[in-house]
Amino acid sequence: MHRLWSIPEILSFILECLSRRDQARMAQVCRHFWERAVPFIWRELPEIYMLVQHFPPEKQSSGKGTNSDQPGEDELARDEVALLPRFSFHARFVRAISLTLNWYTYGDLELLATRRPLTSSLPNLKTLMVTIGDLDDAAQAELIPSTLYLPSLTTLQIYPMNADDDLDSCDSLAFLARAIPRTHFPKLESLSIEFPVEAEISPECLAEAIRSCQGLKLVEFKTTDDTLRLEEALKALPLLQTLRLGQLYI
Amino acid sequence: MSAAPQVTLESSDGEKFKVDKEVAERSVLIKNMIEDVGESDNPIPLPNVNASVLKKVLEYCEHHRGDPLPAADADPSNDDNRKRATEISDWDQKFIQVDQEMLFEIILAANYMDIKPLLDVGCKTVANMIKGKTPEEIRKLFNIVNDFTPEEEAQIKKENEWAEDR
Repeated sequence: MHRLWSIPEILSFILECLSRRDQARMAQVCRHFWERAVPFIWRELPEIYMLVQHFPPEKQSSGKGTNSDQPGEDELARDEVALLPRFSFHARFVRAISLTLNWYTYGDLELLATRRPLTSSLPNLKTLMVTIGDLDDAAQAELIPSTLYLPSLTTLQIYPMNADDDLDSCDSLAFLARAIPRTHFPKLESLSIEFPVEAEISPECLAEAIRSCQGLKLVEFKTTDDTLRLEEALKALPLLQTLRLGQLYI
Repeated sequence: MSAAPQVTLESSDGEKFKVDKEVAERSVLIKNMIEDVGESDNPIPLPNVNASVLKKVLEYCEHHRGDPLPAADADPSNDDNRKRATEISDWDQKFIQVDQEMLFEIILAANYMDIKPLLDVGCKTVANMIKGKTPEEIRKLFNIVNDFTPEEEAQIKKENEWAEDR
């Protein structure tokens, strides 16, 4: 191998110039390229199923509602030994996740949730973008915060998939918003939410929830409701520098 | 017109190149050396760069002698912009049309001599060579040995497969 490849800065710079597709191909060339390419490939995830793939296949297929969700201790221990190194290896490179949450992707999230001790290891995740689609019930929406303990998160964006006519996603959003105070985002600095008033939670209640994140510097809040009351509530945030309240038109 | 100040550079194989100070100072390494040592008639040794590569590098520096110096590398966001823009100017493109060995040596020299714009051009050229190729084609192109076991290769392919359709 040419000595060019042994200089980390040069190899990283070349990888940085490539698309993710080409980075993934570089990862398959040899061990040395793989080590350098993986941090680039896994930096931003467009979904979460690629994290879930590290779980043994039988776990994925037994996903929903049967007793096999609670494996015997021996089975669990064996699985964790098998998957933990691969999961944590990749998870530590993840800096941003875009997550479209609906009945289809819910299974992946549920799978993460059942392995909470393992999934608390996204130590470098800074940005989470959640698009809320149709979910079946409140329990599903509440899974998001209960799944992810995100001590490093600084930016959270939550949008309904269809603000105008999709009542289901409004409900999902409401459940998610209620759960915010119970989550732990100690480093959260930036929060953007689009919030149709049809959702089963009052804006004041949501403002209350947001105030539990004391480190917020930027809040963007779009709602169909009157924004004046929100402004009062959010001004109490001690570090707030930017507050953008907007009207959500439907 | 008074003569521009000049400096002498010495390649690893002992060849001496007398160039305008302004040209030599496209290299941050040389610029810093001149600042540290002060003006001197002694040749500046470049033990990592041979004569044929140094000649090529100086050709680049000569062509770009009047360019604004790249902004201080302290700003990381600036660094990002530098990497994302993949276009290479016409002159640079012609300049960098060399065989692979020379291309790699130019990149190594640009890295060692700290000439960021030249390092950019070289790395982007290598990136362009990689684009669209399969792992096996990349190995062939750069003469790289596949050191994965078949099991490892299958696992790494599987783990990163998702990235290939995006």
